[in-house]
Amino acid sequence: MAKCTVCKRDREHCEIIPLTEAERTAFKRLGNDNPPKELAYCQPCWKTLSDPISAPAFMKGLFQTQLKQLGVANAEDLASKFHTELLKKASKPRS
Amino acid sequence: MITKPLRRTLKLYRAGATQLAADFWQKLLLQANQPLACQRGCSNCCYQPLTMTLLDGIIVYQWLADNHLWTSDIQKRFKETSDRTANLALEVWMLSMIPCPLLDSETKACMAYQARPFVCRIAFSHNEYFCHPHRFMEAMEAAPYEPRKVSLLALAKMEEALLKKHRLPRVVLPFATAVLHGEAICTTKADYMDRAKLIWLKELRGD
Repeated sequence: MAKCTVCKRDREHCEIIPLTEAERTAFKRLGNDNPPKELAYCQPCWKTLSDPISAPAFMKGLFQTQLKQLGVANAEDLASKFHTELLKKASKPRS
Repeated sequence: MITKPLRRTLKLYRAGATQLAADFWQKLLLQANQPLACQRGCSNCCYQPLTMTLLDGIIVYQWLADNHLWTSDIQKRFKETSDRTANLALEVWMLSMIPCPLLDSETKACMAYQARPFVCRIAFSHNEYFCHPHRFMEAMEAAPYEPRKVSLLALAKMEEALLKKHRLPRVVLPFATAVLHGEAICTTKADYMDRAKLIWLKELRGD
């Protein structure tokens, strides 16, 4: 049983992703003095994040919502740009 | 397997839901002083999370089968959507823009408009800006959904009372999953209660 990083629910059979030192340092730079050693993702959220269409849409939506809550005026434009970048990355063939 | 009591329950449920939807629209159109923003081709609400009960699932499946629309292509879409939305948190579902499997991607219209579930029948908006799933936080602040809540609660009460007569539980599921269970009830020997037990077992196992 672990708490999902995305939906914050306690779920079983989570995908556990250990963080590298570089990623932990990035967390610290963002103000988290005690970054986690690993991130857990429940199966439904993992499926969403593994999907090349729903993952960018979800991340765009999350980004847009958070920017709006912070009062950023052009939140939707910034989120759209972010979405375009994510789609470019998602469509790259895996090799 | 659709048993005789279930057939009767479905008939009463359909009639009750139609009446409630008619009452809802009558009240809304009498009270509202703003025009509706909804129009054919706008499919924003088809990307919002949609849950419904097993009874609704049976009704939608039966309509699709009767109208020869339960094709292999549509079945594949339902299975994929069911797989993607099973146990998914509503907020994550909302932001992921997962389309309803009945949304025609070309015409942006519902393929089963006549048999659409009650939630869709009473969907409305006075401002299409708030319909986009990524603006749901703003929409919640604007709180335009109060009349819908009242109708949904009334329908839930009516459904519960109808099912209680036959000692059947009311089961709420993601839309695609409900229709797939509806198909199983209509086409296999499994009855309503068998499927309800299966759903609970899956829930307990965390599938």
